[in-house]
Amino acid sequence: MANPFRIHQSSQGDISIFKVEGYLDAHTAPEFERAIQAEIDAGRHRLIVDCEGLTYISSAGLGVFMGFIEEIREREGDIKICSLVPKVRQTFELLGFHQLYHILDSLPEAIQKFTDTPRWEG
Amino acid sequence: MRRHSRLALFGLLAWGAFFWLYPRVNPVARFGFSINRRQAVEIARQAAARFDIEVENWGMALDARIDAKTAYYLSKEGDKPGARLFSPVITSVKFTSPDKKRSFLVRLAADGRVLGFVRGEPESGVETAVEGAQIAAQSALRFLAGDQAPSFTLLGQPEKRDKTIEVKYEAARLRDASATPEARFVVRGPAVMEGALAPRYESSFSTEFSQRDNPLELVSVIAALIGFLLVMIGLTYYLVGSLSRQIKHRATLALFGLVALLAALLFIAGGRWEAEIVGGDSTLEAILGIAAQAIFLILPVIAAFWGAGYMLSLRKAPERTVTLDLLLKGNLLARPVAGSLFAGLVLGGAFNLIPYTVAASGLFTGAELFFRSDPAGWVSAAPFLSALDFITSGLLFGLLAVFGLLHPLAEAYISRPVITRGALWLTGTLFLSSSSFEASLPAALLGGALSMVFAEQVYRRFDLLAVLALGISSAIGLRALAMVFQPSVVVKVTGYGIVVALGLLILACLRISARGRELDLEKEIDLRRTEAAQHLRVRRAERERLLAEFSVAQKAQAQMLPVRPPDLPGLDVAAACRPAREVGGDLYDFVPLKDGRWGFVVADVSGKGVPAALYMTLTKGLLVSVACDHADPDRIMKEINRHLYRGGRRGVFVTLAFAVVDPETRTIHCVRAGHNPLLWRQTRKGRTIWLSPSGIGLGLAAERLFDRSIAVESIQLEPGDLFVLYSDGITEAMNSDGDEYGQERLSEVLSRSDALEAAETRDRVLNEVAAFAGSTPQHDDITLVVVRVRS
Repeated sequence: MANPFRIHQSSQGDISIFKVEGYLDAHTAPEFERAIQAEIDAGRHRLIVDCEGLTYISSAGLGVFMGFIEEIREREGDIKICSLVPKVRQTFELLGFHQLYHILDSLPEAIQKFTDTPRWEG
Repeated sequence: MRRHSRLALFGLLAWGAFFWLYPRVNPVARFGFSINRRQAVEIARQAAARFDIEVENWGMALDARIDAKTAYYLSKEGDKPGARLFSPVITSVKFTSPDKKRSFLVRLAADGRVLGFVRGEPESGVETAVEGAQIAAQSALRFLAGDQAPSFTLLGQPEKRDKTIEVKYEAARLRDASATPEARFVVRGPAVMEGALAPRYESSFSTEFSQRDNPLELVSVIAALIGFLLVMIGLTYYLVGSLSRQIKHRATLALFGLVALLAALLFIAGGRWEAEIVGGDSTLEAILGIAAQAIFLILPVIAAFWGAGYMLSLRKAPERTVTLDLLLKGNLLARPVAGSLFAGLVLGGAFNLIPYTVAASGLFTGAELFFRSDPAGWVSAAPFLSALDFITSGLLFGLLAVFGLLHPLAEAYISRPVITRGALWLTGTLFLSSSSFEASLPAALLGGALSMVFAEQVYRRFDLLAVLALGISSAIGLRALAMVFQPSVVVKVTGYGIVVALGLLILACLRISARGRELDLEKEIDLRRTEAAQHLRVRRAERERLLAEFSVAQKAQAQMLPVRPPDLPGLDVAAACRPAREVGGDLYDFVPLKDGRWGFVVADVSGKGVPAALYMTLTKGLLVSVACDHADPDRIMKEINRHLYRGGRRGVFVTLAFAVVDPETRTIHCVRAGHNPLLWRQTRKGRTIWLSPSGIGLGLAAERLFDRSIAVESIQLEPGDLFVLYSDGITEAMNSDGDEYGQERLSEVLSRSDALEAAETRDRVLNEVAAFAGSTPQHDDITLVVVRVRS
């Protein structure tokens, strides 16, 4: 596989940051799902997904974001998405994700967003 | 029974011939090992007393090993003067003080001469005078060389190095003989020592020989590499077989348990244990070392060569492994099991005779056979147990590798018998030649090849158990005879004891094979064959069931699509859905609305496979039922979303393009729920417009958010215009370079199709996408609805 999927996890204060790389599709989505589930189980509900290295996302990959968002928001948390490459941004926007999530240009902006607008006020 | 009598007669004659040939061919018989444990300890105590070391209540450990370099030298130059100064078997006796700080190690020749000793004392910090070292060295020389001491002369001045002082003597007498070897006597003492002088002495010799001359080293290395490769292949099979539950671990674990038990006996009671202590290991290190060998060496080898091989043999030749399997399941007293054991054990002499005959033939100079294994057992507290040394035999490893794994592996995968046999003989020859010969490569290869032919005959006429029994009896026989021909009474008697025990074992097997428990071997073989076939059938059936499910899902998906597009005045409509290899989740449909207009839809469910296809059915049902009550496209979307969001699973969603078409006015109101944009080709103006009204995918968000997001875009079609709904299978179709087809190519091909009818336009798009993708497999369904306004 030329472009394997990888997750680098870090945290800043109570914000967990997932730096995702490569292809997020039906084969790799379960790995991402487990990583997010582990954070929720640990009581961490403020998540940023940094997509700078994400080169492709399929519908199954998009589904991961949806699978948890309600639960996270019910617990006063949020998932914020940042640093999308143009092609992935197009996929997100086509599906209407910009109406469902805060999508920021950079990681610092995403972290700042948790201070400014910690909760989704859709 | 007649077959067994003939076998017994042949076996006995071969053993007799081997017994006769052994001392004539194998230099081990000339080693002249004439001491025993008690004598070795006594000599070592006397040596300690000479240096005023009180070892009365010190710990004690013995080891004996073949000095390979000397042994090899003696096999080639045994008649040179001075050769007898060196001993091919060296016995070490080590005393260790209770606080473990002091030690005294004595090395003895086969005849009990003291060859040297090493004295271990704690360091003190006081520097040794060079003169002191020289005096100590002279005293040691007198002790070791006895009346030959005067023939040694000092070689230069004592050398003081960083931590040692070295005093060297050379035996002038031997140099005069102008022949190798030279005898050299070296004394090394620590440069820093305790008040009293405490030197360490050792005798050594130097010759121009080096073991690297041995041409068989290369064969051993190749055999070891192949062995490693086979273990890896076997382990892979074992793991795969375990995962698919084809391997039952019981027999493998039983064999491992058996070998581990013998290994434990050999190591703990049979002398290996003491060897580890002499080598400098602590008790804990020795235990860990032995356990690690069992787990990392024995277990993988058994799993690879027996576990995996057995699984493979079940398909083609269960009759070759059935008796060993039965034995491991406890059927020791069953007739066929004992029969195989008998055949293998009794033929061990004939098997050993092969390389000995080659060596004795006189065709190959320097073709000597070597007893490679460990004589540690000779000086152990239980010399009888050294017979168990066969478990470390390279020969047995080779036989198990070739017949346990390689044979069934080759039978399962190589269809041409010539290649199978060739591969087996080549590998077998390498294994068997490297484990029996020394010094002559042609002799080794010939002996190995003939041994392999013999072993294969035993495998074909009997089975795997017989081949292993052959290896075991061969190895035990070699070890017993090595002992029988030593002058030491204890060792000799033990050797005869082992020969008698082996004979009794063979007789017992013969007896059981005639009078033991009846066991229907054919039935057992059939049982195994049926089991293997059944496993194969179950796997095949499972596969077929899955394929059937897929085809049902695929059919269901196909049946959901309309048979033909609606016949609408003024509009030419065509559509297609090309499912990808897997069952996908695309859909197109034409739904009549209650106000006379038509709803055209193209939808795509996230994910793939049967779940996506089922979700698609749900979506279609919702669409049809909602369309009965509503005619506004945004309203229809909102209703579907409400149901999908409430009733569906999180993470699964549907994207959809929906156009409400009024055939009379040629107006279109379209909505887009997270789907690709819709395309409008204004033919007369020569312009293409992408319609992308706002809207989130269905099932992603609750009403409040979704309802706000969805927008309607309306257009007025002119004659000749084209309106297209499609799924991302078109724009994301990929070629071998990883490029996507994309919106631009789609728009370009449509701009070239202004003169075509709907069906022709559809086909051109599909053909061009297919040509673009070439042979690259596509993962998405390709769906397309084309509407052309008639001019």
